[in-house]
Amino acid sequence: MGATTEKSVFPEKISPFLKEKMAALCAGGGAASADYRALYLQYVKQAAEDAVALEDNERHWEANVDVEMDGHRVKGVERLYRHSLVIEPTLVCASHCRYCLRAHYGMFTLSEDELKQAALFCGSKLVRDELREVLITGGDPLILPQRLGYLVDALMKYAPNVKTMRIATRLLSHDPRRIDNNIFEIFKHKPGIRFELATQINHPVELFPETIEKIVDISALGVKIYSQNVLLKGVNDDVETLAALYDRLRELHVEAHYLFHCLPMKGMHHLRPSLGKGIELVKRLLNSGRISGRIKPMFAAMTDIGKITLYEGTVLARKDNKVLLQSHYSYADRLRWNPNWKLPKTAAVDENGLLRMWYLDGSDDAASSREIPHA
Amino acid sequence: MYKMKTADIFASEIAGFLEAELIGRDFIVRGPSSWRRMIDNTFVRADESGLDEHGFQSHKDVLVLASRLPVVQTDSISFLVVKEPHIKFIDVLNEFFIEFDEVKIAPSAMIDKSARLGQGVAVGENVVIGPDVTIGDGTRILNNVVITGRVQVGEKCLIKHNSTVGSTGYDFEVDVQGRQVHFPHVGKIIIGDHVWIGSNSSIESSAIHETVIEDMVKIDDLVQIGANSVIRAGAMITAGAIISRGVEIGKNCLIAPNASVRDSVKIGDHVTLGIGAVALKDLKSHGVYVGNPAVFLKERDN
Ligand code: SF4
Repeated sequence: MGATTEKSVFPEKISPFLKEKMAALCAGGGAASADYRALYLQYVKQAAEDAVALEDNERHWEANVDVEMDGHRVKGVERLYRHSLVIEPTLVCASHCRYCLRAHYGMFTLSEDELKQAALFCGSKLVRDELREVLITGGDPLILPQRLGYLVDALMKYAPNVKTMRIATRLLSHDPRRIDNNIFEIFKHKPGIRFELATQINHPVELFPETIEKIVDISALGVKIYSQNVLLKGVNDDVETLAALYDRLRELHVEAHYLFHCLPMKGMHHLRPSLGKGIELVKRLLNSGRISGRIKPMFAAMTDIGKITLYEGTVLARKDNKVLLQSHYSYADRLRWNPNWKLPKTAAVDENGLLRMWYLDGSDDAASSREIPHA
Repeated sequence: MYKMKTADIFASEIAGFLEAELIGRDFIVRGPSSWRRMIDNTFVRADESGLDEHGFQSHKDVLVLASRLPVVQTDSISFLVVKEPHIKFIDVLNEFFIEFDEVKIAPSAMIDKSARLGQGVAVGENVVIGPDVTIGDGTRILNNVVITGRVQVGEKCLIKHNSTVGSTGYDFEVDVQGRQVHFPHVGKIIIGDHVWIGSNSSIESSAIHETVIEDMVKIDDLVQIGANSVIRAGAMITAGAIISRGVEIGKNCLIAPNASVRDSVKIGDHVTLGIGAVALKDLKSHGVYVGNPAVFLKERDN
């Protein structure tokens, strides 16, 4: 996220595991099949990525969320909320999701010493009274189990105030074969710590048999798995696909968390449906009786000021292709939690001291990306 | 304890892990190989002296970790220029291609019910752990180890097969009638964190006070550590070394194979005692000592 402003080209990177699956799907159902398309659109680099609109963000977080300790920036740590903060042990992933904000950042991996600094910050008097939870993200922290294990141990030692560790990963679908004993051990023998695994399964096809096996193994260790999905044009922007996805997740005891609107990143126009379509889809999904009332994804946009849950009342105004979103974040709180925080140019403070922000909408024009060449 | 695993890792992932620029193409790396016997789709550490002469041409998709680029490069080989390539090679091996065994307590282990074991302690087959023993979190004890007496082992240590920690010391006095009287060792052993004790080694209990092995000490196979000795942090004691009673070995010393240290000798910090050397008197810090009896050879560089 705010780790570096260095620009990078996001090369296509598809794990051998996903490549095998894509080849099998293409050979089975053909290149036009919905299952093949769901993977193709997420991972294969497309010409449309070069169609950059002027107002697209080059990077996602325009706000400064970095933190400092003893006058030095703590590398790989960001704070946006009162009770939680984000640690990024590495920005490396096993595959590159085309719509990911990582596309626009440089690459780093924290050393053991830097991870220790991050843990010391979490337990420091600057934050320890309020901080209860860390989100360990990246990149994909599960691809480096030794470093992740080191961070978990360091947090337990230097930040006993942290009681919940959430770990974000797509390795479950990128390459579940890499989820082995080294990862299972991280979750064992840690009394008093609640582990949660945040994954992202956007289409039912990503629940491969190998993925399911590892979901079962990890759940058996008492780790709660939840999925925060992304609404992607041509992948899952229809009620049938979403209903099938949430049904399968429920069967596997995977909790549905956010359904994110695809970020307004450079070159992502072809994968971003409009907010209106997303709101409508979720309304139909939740009110049609198609999925259990016990699995209710929250539709949200990830903005420069944090997540904003989306429903009709959130959209205050529209100007060209931008919408003004109302949040319930207070400006004063932000400054209290992170004195370095600066109001992004796209945001404003309303009469109640709450933040609002202009957000680039998607569109519902025909997705050029639906034309998929044969693999 | 661990095994090699095959994994499909992109060279660019390894580059990201080492924060180094990938020079050359990206491809899949499936494990390590060596400079002299390169295998396709592996990573190797360069032999710097032969970097410019290597016949890379016959190989495909090899990722080379080196401290500089060779004069001539080929398309099929990619490079990561890193400091200390030999260390980075081990880091990559550990992070991507080694799978550690599950942490568990073997059913045949005999652990006294009043012993205190921390979280995530692994105990192998036929291990014996006595009543006054404390083992820190994440320590691994391999098959047939015996730990008895008043012993405290720190966190994340490794004690390899067949070693004994806390055996009573070889401590006999002979009276005027020629009677051999054994001094019962009732003292403690205190072992710090991240200590490694090799196979078939023995750490003796102290007579009354304590035998101390500080953090990060690495003891090889077939080593004897006598009662009441103190081994300071980071010291490395290699195979076959004999450390007698009441010895003090300073920080970051290197005791080479088959070296011996006489009772009550004090060795300063950062000392190297050469192969087979015999230290009969105290040795000052920062020296390299060799021979029997050990004599000063030169200053140690680090
Ligand atoms: S795994 Fe996550 S961080 Fe990595 S490319 Fe995909 S969305 Fe981005």
